[in-house]
Amino acid sequence: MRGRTLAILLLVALLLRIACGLSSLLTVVFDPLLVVAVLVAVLNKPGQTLLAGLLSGGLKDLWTGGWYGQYSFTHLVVSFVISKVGGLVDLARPFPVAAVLAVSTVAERGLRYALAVAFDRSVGEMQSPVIWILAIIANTILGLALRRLAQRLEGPSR
Amino acid sequence: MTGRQVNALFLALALGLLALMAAQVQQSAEGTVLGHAARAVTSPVVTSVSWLSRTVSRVFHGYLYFVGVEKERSRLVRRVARMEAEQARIGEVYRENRRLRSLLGLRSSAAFPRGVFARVATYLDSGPARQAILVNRGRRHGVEPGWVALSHGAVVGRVVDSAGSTAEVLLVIDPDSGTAVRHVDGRFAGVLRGGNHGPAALLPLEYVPRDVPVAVGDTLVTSGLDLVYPPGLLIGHIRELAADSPLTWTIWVQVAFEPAELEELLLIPPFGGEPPSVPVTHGAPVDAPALGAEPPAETDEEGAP
Repeated sequence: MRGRTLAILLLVALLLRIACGLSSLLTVVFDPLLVVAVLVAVLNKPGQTLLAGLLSGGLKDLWTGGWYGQYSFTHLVVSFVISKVGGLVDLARPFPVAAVLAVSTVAERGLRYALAVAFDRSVGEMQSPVIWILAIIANTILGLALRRLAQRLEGPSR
Repeated sequence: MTGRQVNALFLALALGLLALMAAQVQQSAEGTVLGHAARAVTSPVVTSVSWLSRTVSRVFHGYLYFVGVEKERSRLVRRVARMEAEQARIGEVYRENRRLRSLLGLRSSAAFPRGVFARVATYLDSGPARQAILVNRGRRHGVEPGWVALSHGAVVGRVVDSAGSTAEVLLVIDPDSGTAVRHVDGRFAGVLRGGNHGPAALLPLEYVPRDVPVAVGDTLVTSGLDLVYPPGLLIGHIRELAADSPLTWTIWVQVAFEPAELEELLLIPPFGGEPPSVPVTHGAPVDAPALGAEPPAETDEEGAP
């Protein structure tokens, strides 16, 4: 993936994240920056994956505020693990991409809970399963759409 | 970059981020240097997006309004005439009220004369670990960290960070929030913990003695003992009583605002500013609807002072 494509994807994701901020539900459900980190991890080499994970998480930390570093950490870990699995199995086709997006949505949230517990920060009640399911569906659909966008930006040779 | 180099880089980054998070754990929610810097960077973006969304909304609603404007015109003219007469009468009553209050040596009837009206610009995060919103009033409008946010007379949260034209409000339902409350009839006091428990967003108030007469539906207000929220502001109503030991109740409280439906807030100076006195009944604060009724001379159309 070219740097320009990564930059455009991150920009689109950031704008989507800002738009989602207008509604409480959308904020909980959609995670465009994570989706971009996952897509880059699926489609790229590990070096670029780390950069994308760090950038997307950093942007989300910057936007969300509160406890800086938590999203950078979770995005970094999720994208690194995906890139490692991607080295063993071909994840770049649509069905595996959808599966990876679904799993990573859950994994990233789980990681955040784990971090909060590890650092003795109150996490409140677990979100309802409906929210988790909505998040999985929303992020998977968004991921597939952004994957098409990435392919168009990369040109027909890709 | 080889596989080993990538692994080493990953480890270094992960450890660095963990150290960054650990460094923040000991600090309060009210502003790290990193937090202030980040808010300063994001503030212009949020302001622009908020302005854009409001403009689109206004244009859309303006169009809908003009579709039926001819039909409504004559009815509105009559209504305006009636309202002007009413306004004149109310204005006279208001001026008389002010004169009488002045004569009696009482303060203004406005509960919060230094209040600033603000719109919710964006939900920063509404996950279980953090409940915070950004509003479109900030340091430029006099809003500082520590100011209290109200919605229809009920406490919503407090400002934890303030940039030029935005401020971050940490809601009382945030897991890191704790609010000193008391029963409206003064039967007990305690600390209401945040946490947004369950779909009904109930907050726990623990270790309430069981010999205290409380009932579902009773009202809780701020006690002021935390030196954060002024005393007497509406917090919420008791929804459940759970016996957590032979001697104490855990009381589950429903806050008096709907977190997902916040639109406009009144920001008031913190404890130590103008001491408010909102009379609270078992239903809602008596003065709450009157907060916006202060004459326009003191605020502009958006509510800025």
